[in-house]
Parts: sequence; structure tokens; C-alpha cells
Amino acid sequence: MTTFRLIARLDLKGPDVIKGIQLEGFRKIGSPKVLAEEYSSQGADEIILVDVVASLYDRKSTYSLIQQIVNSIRVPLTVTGGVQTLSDAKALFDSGADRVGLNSHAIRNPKLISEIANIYGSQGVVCSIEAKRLEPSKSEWECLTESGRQRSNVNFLEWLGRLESLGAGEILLTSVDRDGTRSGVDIDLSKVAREVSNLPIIYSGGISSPSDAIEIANCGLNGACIGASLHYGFLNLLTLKEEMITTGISARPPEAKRL
Amino acid sequence: MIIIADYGAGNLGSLTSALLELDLDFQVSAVPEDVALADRLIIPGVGAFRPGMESLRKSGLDEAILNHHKSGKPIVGICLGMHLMATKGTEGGETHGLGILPGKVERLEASKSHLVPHLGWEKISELDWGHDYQPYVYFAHSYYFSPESSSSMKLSFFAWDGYHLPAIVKKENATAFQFHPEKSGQDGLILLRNALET
Amino acid sequence: MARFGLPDEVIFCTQCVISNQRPRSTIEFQSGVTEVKKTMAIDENGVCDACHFQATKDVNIDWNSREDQLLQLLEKHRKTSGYDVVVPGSGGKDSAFTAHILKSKYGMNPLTVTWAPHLYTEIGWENFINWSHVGGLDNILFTPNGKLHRILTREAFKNLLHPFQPFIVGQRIIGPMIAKRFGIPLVMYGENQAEYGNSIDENKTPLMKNQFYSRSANQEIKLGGRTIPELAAEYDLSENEFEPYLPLSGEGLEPQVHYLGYYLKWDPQECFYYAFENTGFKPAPERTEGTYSRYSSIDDKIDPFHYYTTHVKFGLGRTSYDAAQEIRNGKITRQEGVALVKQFDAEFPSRYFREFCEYIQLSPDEFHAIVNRFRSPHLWTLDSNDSWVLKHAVWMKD
Repeated sequence: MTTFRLIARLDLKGPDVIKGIQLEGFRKIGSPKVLAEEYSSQGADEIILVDVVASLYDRKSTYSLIQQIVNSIRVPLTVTGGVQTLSDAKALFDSGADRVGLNSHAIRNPKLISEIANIYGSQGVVCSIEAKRLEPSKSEWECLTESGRQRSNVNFLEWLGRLESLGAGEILLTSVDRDGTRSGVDIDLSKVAREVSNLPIIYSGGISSPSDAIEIANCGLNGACIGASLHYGFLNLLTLKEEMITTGISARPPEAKRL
Repeated sequence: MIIIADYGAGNLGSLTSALLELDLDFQVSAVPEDVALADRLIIPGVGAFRPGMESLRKSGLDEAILNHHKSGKPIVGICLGMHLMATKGTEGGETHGLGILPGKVERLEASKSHLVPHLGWEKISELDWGHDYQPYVYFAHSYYFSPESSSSMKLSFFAWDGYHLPAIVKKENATAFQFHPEKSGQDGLILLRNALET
Repeated sequence: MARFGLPDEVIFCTQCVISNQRPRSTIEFQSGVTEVKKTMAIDENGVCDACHFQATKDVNIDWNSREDQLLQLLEKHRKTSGYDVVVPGSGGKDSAFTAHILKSKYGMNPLTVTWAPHLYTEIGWENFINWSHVGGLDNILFTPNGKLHRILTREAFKNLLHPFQPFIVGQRIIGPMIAKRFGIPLVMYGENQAEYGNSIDENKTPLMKNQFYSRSANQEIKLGGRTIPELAAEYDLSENEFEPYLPLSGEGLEPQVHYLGYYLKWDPQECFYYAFENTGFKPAPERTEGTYSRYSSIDDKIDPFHYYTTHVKFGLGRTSYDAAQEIRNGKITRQEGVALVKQFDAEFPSRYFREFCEYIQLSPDEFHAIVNRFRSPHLWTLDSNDSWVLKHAVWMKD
């Protein structure tokens, strides 16, 4: 089994990291650069920057922010949000992003995925899905767009099944119902996603404890993306990782030696 | 002066920031004349083999790279850069590579436990680098380099579904990384520096 | 010529997105059909009263001293047995915060009192229940005679284009009314609507103007712009059915009605987070038409029609209100606010439209005919497709 990744999620709004509840609300958490450095030193295997208001903002300051972050961390950085065209993706890659994520515009224009993958490789393209249950007790989900503001009427599993042939390299799967709630993971969502797709899948939403992350790993998903629990100090990636490794999950151990 | 060959294949942000952190002077260039003046050369890249080679040919960088290699000065390939140094690639049919490293570039075979693209940190084995542990490094690829068995190359490996595949390939003045040393923590920086000081 | 006596010239605040067309809070049961509205003041620098007040909140008010005042007030009222404060509300973010913090931080024994929404949404009901089950609070839910409530909603819609009036009337009265009946001298609301641009003087006192919930003995009461005898006659009702809508009058205990927002620095979005963390509050599963947010005013299916009608009458829909609040509280920038208003403000509330029409017993055509009568020519014009368009919006370049 390839190693399981622990990823820090930074929801970005302008110059700030914010954190909402079920993708609603903009409570400020702190500086993106400071938090990226902090989580990187805790042993994050990757940092994901989710730009939550991309379509409403002028992005130049975001590009400069990305550069600053890339200069201060030595692990991969994925940036998602507001990518409408190939040149939007290029601007992110040029700022230093290692991988670029698509959500709303991929659903509207699926060809965008392969357009970007053809130049940067599918390993450079993450398809970000915000999945919301249609009803609390039913195992059916819909894809939301624009940071949870709009319904797309696109069925989650149907969309997920198309992504490999469309050229995506990885899925960032966010449970909207669990996001920001620290109430545990949507395990049904994880299981059906694993059954339907052969792509690497990172799960995000509600991770509150080592056992939540372990559940995700045991489902066969490839990474756990954590936001609120880190920002509010309930989890530390270092101890989380150590605990996962002791239960037998393959993961990059904390760096034993540094220069 | 280190030259990073820019042939339009993907981002250079992490790589340039890594060299900054290593306090090494460098320049990014798309122009063969600059490559000719390099003491050390890095070929980065993400993306596909065929367009990559076409871009090298069109710009004349392919010849400049080969000349640099012949001169014995250090040359470092990363990810697609490593692949292009091979004899040939197989993506979308066979394409000739630069021929610096004898071998072919093949697609990774996926299984339930090993998904393609290969994304994530893996431990290298058989790395001789003066430390008493083997580092974890970051991979992001769908193709790998498959060396000709009769070649004189020093290999370090990563595990893939019951196989050992090359993570680092060393042949004389050329070092090639399948993973991204510029995104592999402090250990990655050490490996990158060592390769540039060959 | 502008209707309702609104200012002829439309001016937008340069700091938030609200305009000078925004009416101040009315004493609803005096509201007549030909009423002239008092509206939001925008000064010569283009800054509205609400933004001015926000600046005061941020800089001038000594919140420590305000909290001291609160502590003194609560000390006077706190009881070891029996309720010592009435908190009106529905378990939305503001009342959830108010009731819970009074109990958990300030050691009070609140009785929460709810004037039922016209038509509960699912999420509204869940949040209401969780207010008690998770928040740990006693509650009295008062559901007014639905048949009459519908009549009043219909009359208010037809005569004032203000379908929410019966809710607003009842909600302001129920707290003081129950407090009076239970002998509880203190009522605590959340925010003062003055924060949103009523006269700035109203912010200098913690007390709600008692004209909002009480009246003098012979004061004439109007509902839906009509008198009670008129309505009783037309709909064959007895006048005492209207009692829940009657403001308190004179005799007996007169409860003191305070705003917690006078004592604690109010941040509606932070109330949302607090309510999530403490009373089981969840945002709506999808955004309501007409706005981008999901945590504010989500318990009544009539709500979207309230804001739709403000958009028709004043050119300001729900997004304008939500965005203005979030700009002032530093959650979004004006640039974002303007873009959001452009995207969502004019959205028609189609989700509950059929239900609303049935509720007030009007056909869709009748609905639109009534709505169109309230479009003031200084705000609206017909385009080449014969559709109504706003002449002035905050996102339009002048």
C-alpha cells in the first residue's frame, strides 16, 4: 500500500485563513503563511489551499501569497478555487502551486480538466468535490459548487465515475455536511467513493480524532485533509501521525533528522 | 552558475525556492546559449513525454543538454526531466528521448493497493548518502524509468506493488530523480544539493 | 415621484451596500397604507448611519463598562428559583446566543418564548428543538390562530406589500406579554434594530422603545393597514380573536425590555458559530433564494417573500441586508458585497412560491399584479422585453 497522507486544509479568503461550518461563515483563523509553516513543521505531508471566494476577488494578491508560502515550506502545495480557464491554472502553477484543483468550472466545462492535464500531467490536476447528502438518512449525494453556495444537480457518483477518463489525477472529496463540525467523518461517502473510483482520493470534513483518520485509511482512501480540528488546536499532526503508524497504517514518519 | 532549463513543462516555483533555500545561484532559461554557459544543469518538468521532447527539440535545448552532458559537468533531471533523459518513452507510442540514461519510460501498472497516478511519500532504499537512515520523499507521477539491465548505473529504489522501481538514477555526471527533491522536506534538499555537487 | 415618501434620489453608502431607501423600523400596528417612511440617513461623505454606528462600536464604546452595567442589571433580577428573564426568539442564531449565554455565563434562569413562524422550515424546526434539547432551555411556543394569521398576512401583503408584518407584530409583543403574565420583570432581546440604521440615538439606551410593544388605552391599532373592527366585520371574526396582536396596555407589571446588543459587542456571524457550538444550531442546507448566506433568518418559508417585497419597495433585497451586515462586521469587503448583491439580490423566491400563494389565497397572477403596484417609478422601469428592472443598484456604474 502506498503511504497515507495527512494534509492540512487552509480555507483562504483574501489575506486570511478562515474556517466555516458546512462551508458557511468566514471566521478568521490566522495568517496563511504562518499556518502553512506551522502545519508543515507538525509533519503535514501536503498543504491544500482552498480559495473560497475566488470568483469575487482580484487574485493578484493571492498569487503573491502562494509564492510566499512555497518559499517557506518544503512539502507540496495544492491550490483550488476559482480556476475557470487554462490560463488561471497556469497563473497558479507559475506562482508556485504544485497541483491545481478544480470544482465549479470542471462541472460546467469538463473539458477543462484534460486541457490542464495535457500540459501539466494528470498528477497536477485535482478535482475537488463538495458532496452534500440529499437527505440525512439516504446514501445519495449531490455536488455543490461555489463553496457550497450553489446546487449543481449533478449526482456525486456519476460525476466521480467520469473523472479518471476526463484526466483528473486525484480527488479532494469534501463532505459538506461534516465540514467544520468536527463531528466525525461521512464513512458511507468514503466507502462508495472508493468503490466507484480508481483514482487517489483525499477525504475532508469532520475529522476530529485519530480514529476518524484511521477509519478513512481503512476504507482504502489515500489521505485525510484536516481543517477545523487543527485550527482550533484539537489535533496535532505529529501526534496524529504517530498514533496512526502504531496502528499499522503506512505513513511518512515525522522527520527524524534535519540539517 | 546553475541553469534550470525551462522548456515550458510545468511550474518551477518549488524548485527555484529550494535553490534559494540552499543558497545556490541559479538562472532559469529557455535559451540554448545560456545552457552552454552553465556549470550545472537542471532539467525539471511535469507533463507528457512527447510534448516535452518536442519542446526540447524546437528550442534547440536538446542539443544544448547533450553537449552539457558530454562535457562532464553535473546534470540533474527531475520527474519528466528524468524521463526525457531516457533512451525512449512509450506514452502514446514510442518517442526517442535524449538517450543519456539507457532505458525506457513505461506506465505504472495500477492495482487495488497501488493507484495511478502515484501520489505521496515513499521510502527510498539502497541510497548511499552518508546518513544512517533512508529518507521518505514525495512522488507525483504516472510513468517510471525502466533501466536496461546491462547498464552501468547506480540505482536507488522505491517499492511498488512487489517491485523495486528506480527512485534515483546516477550515471557518471548525470543524476535523475523520479520524485521531487524540492518538495521532499529537508532530506530532499540534501539529495538535491548532493546531486548538484557531483 | 417616489412612493412611500422615499427620497427621490437613490444614494448608496460608500462603505457598505445599503441605500438611503432603507426604511427605519416602524411601529407596525400604526402602519397605514399612505404612510411616509423614515429612511436610512447617508451623510455628506456618503457614509450611512449604520456604518457610523459600527465605527462607534469598534472604537468609542467601552465594552468593559457596558458589561459591568449588564452584570449590575442581572444581579438585580437573578433568582435562585423561578425564571428571572424572558428571552424571545426562535432558536435562531441571535436568540440562541442570548438565551444560552445568559444562562451559562451569567447564571440566569431564562424562559425562552417563541412566536411561531408562519410556516416552519425543516431546518428552522430542527434548530428550534435543539435550542432546548442541546442548549438546555425551557421554552413556550406560542402559535397564533393560523386562520387569522393567514388573513392578516394576506391583508398586509395586499395593502402594504408587507407579508411579514403579522410575524413582526407578534414577535415584539409576545416576550413582554408572557413576561407580564409570569410576573418576570426582565425581557432580553438580542440585537437592536437601530444597529441597522434606525436613529443613532436609539443606540444610546439598552431599552426597546416601548411603543413597539405597548400602547395607551385608546390608541387605534391597525393590522395590515386596517382597523380591527374593519377586519372583524369583513372576515366574520370576533374582535377578541385579535388579542395576541394587541400591544400591552397600562395596568399591571410593565416589564423592562432590554437589548443584549447594548451590553455585549454584537457580531451576528459569531452568534452563528456560538449557536453551532452550544445549542445545536445548523445552517440551512442550501442558501435561500435572494441571498448567499445560510445562517440568518432560515426558519420561516415566508421569509424570502419579506425580502422580495423589500426589494420591490426599496430596491434592497436580502443580499443587500446580509452583505451590509457582514461588511460592517469585517467578514467581507465592500467589493465582495457588491458582487454578491449583483449575483443574488434580485433572485425570485421560487422554492416556496406556490406554498406562499396558497397560504395567502392568491393566484400567482394576483401576486404579481399586487407586487407591481408597489414598484415606485423612481426605482423601477420596464425594459425592452417588458420586464421590470431596477434603475439603480449598487453594482451599477453611475
